[in-house]
Amino acid sequence: MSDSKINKKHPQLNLTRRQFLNLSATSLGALTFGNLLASCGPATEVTTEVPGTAVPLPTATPTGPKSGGILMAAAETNPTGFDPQKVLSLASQSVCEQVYDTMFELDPNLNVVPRLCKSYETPDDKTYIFHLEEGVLFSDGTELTSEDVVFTINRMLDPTVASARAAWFSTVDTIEAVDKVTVKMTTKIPYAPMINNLANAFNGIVSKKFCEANNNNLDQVTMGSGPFILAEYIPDQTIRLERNPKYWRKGKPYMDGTNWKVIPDDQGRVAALRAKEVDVAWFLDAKVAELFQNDPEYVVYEVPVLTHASTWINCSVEPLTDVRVRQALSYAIDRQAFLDTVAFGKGVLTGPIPAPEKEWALPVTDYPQYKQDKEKAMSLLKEAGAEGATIKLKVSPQYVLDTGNAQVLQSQLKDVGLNLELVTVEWGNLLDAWYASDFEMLNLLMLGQPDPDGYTWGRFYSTSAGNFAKINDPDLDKLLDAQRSTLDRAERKKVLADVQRKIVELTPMLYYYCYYVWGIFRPYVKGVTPMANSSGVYLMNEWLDK
Amino acid sequence: MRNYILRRLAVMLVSLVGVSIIIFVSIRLVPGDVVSLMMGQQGDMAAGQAEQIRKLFGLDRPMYIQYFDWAGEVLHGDFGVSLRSGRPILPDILLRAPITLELAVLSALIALVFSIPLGVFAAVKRDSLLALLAQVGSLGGLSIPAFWLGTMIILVSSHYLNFYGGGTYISPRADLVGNLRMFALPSLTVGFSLSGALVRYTRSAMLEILGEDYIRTARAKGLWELRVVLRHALPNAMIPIITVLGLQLGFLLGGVVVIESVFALPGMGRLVVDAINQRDYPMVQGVILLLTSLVMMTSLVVDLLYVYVDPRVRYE
Repeated sequence: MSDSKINKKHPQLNLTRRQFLNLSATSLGALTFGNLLASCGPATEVTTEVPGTAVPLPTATPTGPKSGGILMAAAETNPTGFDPQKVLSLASQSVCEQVYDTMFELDPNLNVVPRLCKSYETPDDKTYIFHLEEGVLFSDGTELTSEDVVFTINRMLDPTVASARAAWFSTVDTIEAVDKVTVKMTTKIPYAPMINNLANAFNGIVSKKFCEANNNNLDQVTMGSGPFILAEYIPDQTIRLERNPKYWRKGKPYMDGTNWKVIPDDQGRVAALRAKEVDVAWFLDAKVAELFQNDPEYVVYEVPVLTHASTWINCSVEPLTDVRVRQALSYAIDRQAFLDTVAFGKGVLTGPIPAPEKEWALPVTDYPQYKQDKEKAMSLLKEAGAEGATIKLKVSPQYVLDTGNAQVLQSQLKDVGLNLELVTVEWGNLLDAWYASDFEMLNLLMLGQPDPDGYTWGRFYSTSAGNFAKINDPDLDKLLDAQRSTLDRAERKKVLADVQRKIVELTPMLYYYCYYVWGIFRPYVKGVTPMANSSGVYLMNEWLDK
Repeated sequence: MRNYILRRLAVMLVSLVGVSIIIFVSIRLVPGDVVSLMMGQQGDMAAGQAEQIRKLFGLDRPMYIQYFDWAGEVLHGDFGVSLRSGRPILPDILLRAPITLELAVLSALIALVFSIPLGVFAAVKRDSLLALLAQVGSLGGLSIPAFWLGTMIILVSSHYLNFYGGGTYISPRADLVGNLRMFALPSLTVGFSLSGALVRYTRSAMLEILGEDYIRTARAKGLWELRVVLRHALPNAMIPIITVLGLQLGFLLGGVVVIESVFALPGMGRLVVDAINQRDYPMVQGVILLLTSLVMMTSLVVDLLYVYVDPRVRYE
């Protein structure tokens, strides 16, 4: 306040207001769950390897599917733009995958199936010939042709667009439109991840004409060939999608549209469900799911996701340079205890490729290092001369699972004589440290990738930009190159099995579990298809039985 | 008076320049930048890509050049675009400002409507049950965290009244009743918290005033007690009350982020916290600058109110 000529006593500023601020800040941190998931995406019952976690398949009802209606959903975070080649957040993905079509898509078991591309050939291991669906229209009525596909792929590599996913297409050598519905692409090297990358929800095909008319900036404008049109977006409030009347899959989507309210707080989303103001909301907290489990007014979908809890190990820092020390870490811990203690048993143990990737992931029983053996751990530490070593683990309170896992790890490593010093840092600080490999060990929830190459080559190839663990093993490099260049899926699966065993043997990371998320739906929402990669691509199949 | 206002506005401008430099530098000193936060746990950017994106955002330039570029644009009314969403910043701020302002004003009004009568009553009828309840209630308002209270209110209203109301802003011009329904619960929550301090200050100020000689004189002259309290005592007690209210309003404008999150109100509090977490530098700078201006204007308005409440106060 000002120093005016007032000759009255003024009350002191109260300390309780500061206390209130401190309480609020601390509570906000405790309440925040980060921005992991925002989608009202269709969930499904993904069967998993672990018995008892499967959710029964929705059975066909005699009354559906019906057309019409608006799905009201609660989203946790805002999209950060709508350019499919640029955006990274899951909230943006939720919108892009409704507005844009991709060349391929993933089925509920994460197998690649056709979408815009109805078939393709590979005359040699560096050439793809894609055959597009005919008669596909963008929402403005113009035809989607091979020119748009060529433009989109080139856009991915355009430095002025600076797509964060340019690396996924960096092996593209040439791409050309052979005719209106045929695209020919060649790669510099045989590159097996290409098809899965083209199925990723972010790689939607954009209109060349529309892009050029908008200065190649699609951050705030959208025009795709997907089942929905983005009708309205008010940040922090509303995301409204309307059915695309020109959508090429006739009869779909069933619903007239969907409205997402942005409600960041878990309790707010619970309240919105209870007040029947939304039809669906997603949660990371098992306790929230329990509130609705036995309530006949709601249906609960429990979905294991690809996001997995893990600890990065810097293989260039003593004593972690010694593979025996790293293996000792692996033998020392009981991974089930992490899952039971931190995630209340709601998850599935995982290796280098997340367990829900049923086509590629090895069962964890295949890894001898996953069987806790404290004696062996102590013996390895003794051989390596690392008994009683102190190691620092960086962790951020951004995600409660990371901090919980850090505490369990500290406790379990103490049993084998290792001192784990927890260093709590702010989220941005943690990411900086991770990107700079400025850590000894570091806890991080790792996101799903479109292709196993992302979990393997991307993280552990010696010269990969993502090799923050600084591992450099020629045998592993050879295996990683082999999986990348093996186009035959059955053969690639065998190579990837060797890759996973090798990674676990070298232990540049400790893997714990993929956790569950819960979708709470009103029972009249039918055709729900949960996806382990948090995709809502099957929203077009949902319908409202009311 | 006019000279006083002009002087204050000049001081405000200088303060804003200082604030702009402080916020510009301090947000950039925080570890992690917008590119790291954008990538998050993805980690699969191609080598050199992060630097390319930083260059596109102009973050590779010396800090002083970035500051003068930004300051120059602000002077022309251009606050730039968000590094995360690509949206122009000023329209996004102006979209949210009415929400935060309405929450602050409604909460203050609710606090005033309840606090002043209760505080006066608690001072005049010190030994009554209502006075005791008022004191207990004010202690509750000071002690109970607003976020907890808000959560409880939401649980009760959604479960028993089938009402939540959060998530989408309804403008008063479009639907006044809908707008008031939307703000009812959050305003009551914040108003209750504000009332805690206001009841106590009102009671304390009234007790002091009621012991003054001129009050005894007024009673001795045979004036009704109600007139003594309302006409002679309360106006003199208003100075400290207005001071506290002004301070609390200033706090409210920047401090309601927790309430905005709990009730899903798309206000400036949430905007700036998200922007800080995402290192969206232009957004942080724009919102803090605007909030600082609002707090300074509130302070000026409160100081000018003194003139009307206390005729002895004059500004040169």
